[in-house]
Amino acid sequence: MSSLVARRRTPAARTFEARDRRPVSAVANVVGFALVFTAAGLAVCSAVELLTDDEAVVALAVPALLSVVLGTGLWKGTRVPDRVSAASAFAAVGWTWIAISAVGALPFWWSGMLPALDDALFESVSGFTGTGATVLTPIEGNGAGLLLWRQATQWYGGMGVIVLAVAVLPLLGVGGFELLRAESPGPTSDRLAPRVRDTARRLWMVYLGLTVLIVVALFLTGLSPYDAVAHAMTTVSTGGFSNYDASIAAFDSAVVEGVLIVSMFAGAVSFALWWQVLRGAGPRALARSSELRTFVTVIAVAIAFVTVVLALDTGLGVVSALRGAAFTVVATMSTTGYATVDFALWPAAGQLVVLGLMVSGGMAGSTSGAMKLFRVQVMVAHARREMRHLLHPSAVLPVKLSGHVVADPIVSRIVGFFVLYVVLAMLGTVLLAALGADLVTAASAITSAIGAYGPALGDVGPTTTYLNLDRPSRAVLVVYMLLGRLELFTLLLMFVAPVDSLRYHLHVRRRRLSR
Amino acid sequence: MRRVTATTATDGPGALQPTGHQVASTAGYLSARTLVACGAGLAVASVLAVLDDGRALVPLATAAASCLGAGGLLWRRCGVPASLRTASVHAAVLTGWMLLIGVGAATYLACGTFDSLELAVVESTTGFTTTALSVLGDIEDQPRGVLLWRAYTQWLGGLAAVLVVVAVLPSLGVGGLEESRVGSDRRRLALRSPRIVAVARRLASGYLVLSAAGILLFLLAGMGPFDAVTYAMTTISTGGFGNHDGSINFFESARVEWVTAGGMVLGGTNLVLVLAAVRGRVEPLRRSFELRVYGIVIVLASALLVWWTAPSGGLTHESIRHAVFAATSAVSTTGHTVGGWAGWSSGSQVLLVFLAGMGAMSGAAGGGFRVVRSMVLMGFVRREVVRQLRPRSVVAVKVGRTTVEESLLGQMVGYQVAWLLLAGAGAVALAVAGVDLHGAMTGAVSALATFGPGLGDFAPGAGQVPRAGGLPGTALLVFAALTVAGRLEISPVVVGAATIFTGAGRESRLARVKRR
Repeated sequence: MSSLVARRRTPAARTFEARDRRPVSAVANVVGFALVFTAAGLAVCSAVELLTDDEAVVALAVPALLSVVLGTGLWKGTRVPDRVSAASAFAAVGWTWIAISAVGALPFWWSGMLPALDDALFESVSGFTGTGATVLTPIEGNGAGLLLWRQATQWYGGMGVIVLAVAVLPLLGVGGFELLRAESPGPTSDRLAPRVRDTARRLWMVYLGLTVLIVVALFLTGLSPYDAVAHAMTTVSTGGFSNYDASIAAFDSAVVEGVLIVSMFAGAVSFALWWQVLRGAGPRALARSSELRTFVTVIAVAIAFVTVVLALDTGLGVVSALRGAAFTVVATMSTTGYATVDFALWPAAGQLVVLGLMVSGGMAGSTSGAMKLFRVQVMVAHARREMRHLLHPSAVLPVKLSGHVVADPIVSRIVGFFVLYVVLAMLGTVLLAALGADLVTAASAITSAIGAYGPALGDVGPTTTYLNLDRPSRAVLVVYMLLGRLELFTLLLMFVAPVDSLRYHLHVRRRRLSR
Repeated sequence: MRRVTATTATDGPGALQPTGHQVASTAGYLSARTLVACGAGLAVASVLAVLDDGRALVPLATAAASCLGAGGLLWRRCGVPASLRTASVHAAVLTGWMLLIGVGAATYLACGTFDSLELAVVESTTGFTTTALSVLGDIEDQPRGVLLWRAYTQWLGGLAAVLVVVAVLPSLGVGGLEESRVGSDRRRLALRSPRIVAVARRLASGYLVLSAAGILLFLLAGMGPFDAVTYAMTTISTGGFGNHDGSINFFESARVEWVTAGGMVLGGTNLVLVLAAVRGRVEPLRRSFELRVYGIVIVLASALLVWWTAPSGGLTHESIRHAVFAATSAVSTTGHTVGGWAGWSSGSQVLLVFLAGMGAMSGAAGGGFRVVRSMVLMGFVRREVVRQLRPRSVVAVKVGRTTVEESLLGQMVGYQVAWLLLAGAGAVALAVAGVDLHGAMTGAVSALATFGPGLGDFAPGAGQVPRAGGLPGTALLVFAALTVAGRLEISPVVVGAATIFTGAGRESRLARVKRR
């Protein structure tokens, strides 16, 4: 964080620069770049729509054009200032997500796939945040290009998230992401812009490579090329959209499920870690990560527990119980949100495990959402330390993660994030309940939205859509999806820079007038 | 267990050396007082049994005599060790609490109130933890002595919980961040230091004054003397047991309901503040930030519930009264009900459970996470948001005008994590034991908050004290265990159990060796 502001400057110079005279340009530049990038996807999907003789060509092409024009204008018309303040970095990230979600919603709306604008926005935000909650029913029967765009929103979202998690958040020190700093594949530069550029390039190579691998694997299991691409995009991004109403259950194939389990897991492992593996550190890099070890352990324990519960309570055979449990547990913990079984009908204990996994999520630096495992680990370590402090009030007990001491300021940030997460989730639950949802539906829908998961329990289980909730509730969920995906603080603080700059300009104008 | 810094010698008048024939044992010291307190209650219950045609007289009198006898013996034999280890105090608290539950369950079994050990243990546990979950059928046919004892378990449990948290284990910190201020020194542990004795006295007298006032008000509201005493005991302690199948609804009296609501609010108020108010000192009340927030929460919650539960024809006195009653019952974690929530909107039900989870003030008989901790956590979050933009800023977390120490902050956060983890694990355990999803989720929170009612399987019946008689025994036991953890603020249970299983009796052995 300290790095964002100039070091070794005279105090006068620092205050001058810290004020950041052109914060708008940083925001506009990033938004513009993202829009141009998004336009490429829209164009490809438009072409697919054209090739398959579907109707939504124009609905896809016009937003592409709009996006590329607007984007180029913003991107090339502005310049990133040398030093980006934390406030404008938050603003850039937040407004980028909102801008691309808005543009991404246009094809859904104009094509008539989702005639209500708020529904189109819900679907688009759910896509770009990698959530996978849907209001689209039926899914099948829509244009191939349109559905591909729906899948692509998640893929784009995933791209944004890994860069956010590995390059931006550690520098901003959001919620203890500094812990990832050491793992980051970028140059060690402390400056935000060059660092993001280089890190992004490397991570996206990994991301692209992983996507291609999954496409090939899915193709080999017998999926059509279209289905393979569509599902690979939403798997690597742990998004969870599917172009079938029945989600993955539509394939009814254990092999496909197996491939997807591995792929979802891969998507929920830190991309910084993948980069290290590729750079020659080999599998040893994987073994060293305590977060990964915990990830594997939790998945194994959860699968075993759910299998036992299912086998005992529902009279399901052990094999089919294991199959359903394994897929659901991995899909949940990676916050993908595919479904092969209706876990909203599981015994209560099984549903509670799903809810718990929804809260924890996968590894930091991956495309998975929710709290992230390293935070859960640190929080548990912290609680244990405090218990021991009661016994030994003067003892100095550090919080450790994979053998390394976690500095107290970082613990404090993680704690702050954790508390904020819990408070926001509870607030949301009361809100949804006040709007009419029952407790299970309200709590699970909010947990699912803030954790970028997708389906929930109760009235919004995996076999239903969010149309079961009313419009105000869905609006609340849109906010929560963005909140969770952008690690809470980004969304809360994205207004600071614009307001500051507005105040600054007003102030300047007033001074000029009074002169 | 490392013992680097564990032993803190407490010299001075506060730490009495055990005299000649005494054994130094914290557990014995606390257990003696526990037993005598139980014995006193049982003795009064036996006297009442005499008046009640002698129903249940023999078992009650026997229980009273054995409690007083054993308690007296221990009282004379056990002294407080010269040096206290935190671990052994935790263990002693847990032992004392187990003893309470054991005495309660044994009394129920002896009186024939329950046939099964399981149910007796559950009723005794929810009693002493001041949780409004009763498994007793035909309440109205029970001997009066038993009913008095049942109410007394809650009254004693409420008092014991306050004393444990504020006086015995000030290291828990929450004891009196603002008011009694014993929590500030985490390293001092002196069960009989003048300061702690003084604080304990103040708390106990506050509690007694409240109870007396409660009895008086219930009498004025038109209750019979027996009901007035028992309901005052279960209301001031935020327990929530009732002598009637319909709980407070039995009286069908608006006055009784308003008095109960008031009593519940007082039960959730810091006892030091209550005593100050009784003595006519208004300054502490005005200064207390927690009290202000507590009041605001009650008013806001009542307003929301009045709004959300308003009948279609507009507000009626009854709908307002019921809404306020439910809000105060939840915030103070009492659990009295005047009508089921079954017909209420989902939002009201969820709000009630969350309110109970947040709980009452610190230093009060009410349970839950407590207002002061919630406020501290909010301040903590605020600071982290500010720090996100100005990483080098130094911001203190404050409650009112009091700055919260960093160490205490860490502790409260640790407590929150432990609370949430326990709630999650408890919910899964309840679900495995056969409770439905709504019941499991709310039951765990309700138990940790020592509230009682919840949703689903734990829903309060129409106008009844929640009867969980239909639930499987294991689920009830899980629930009861959670109430103990919640009542003792978790750490005495975890740390105490660890100590008992790893190093029981070590302390007294050491003390003996020292004396030689």
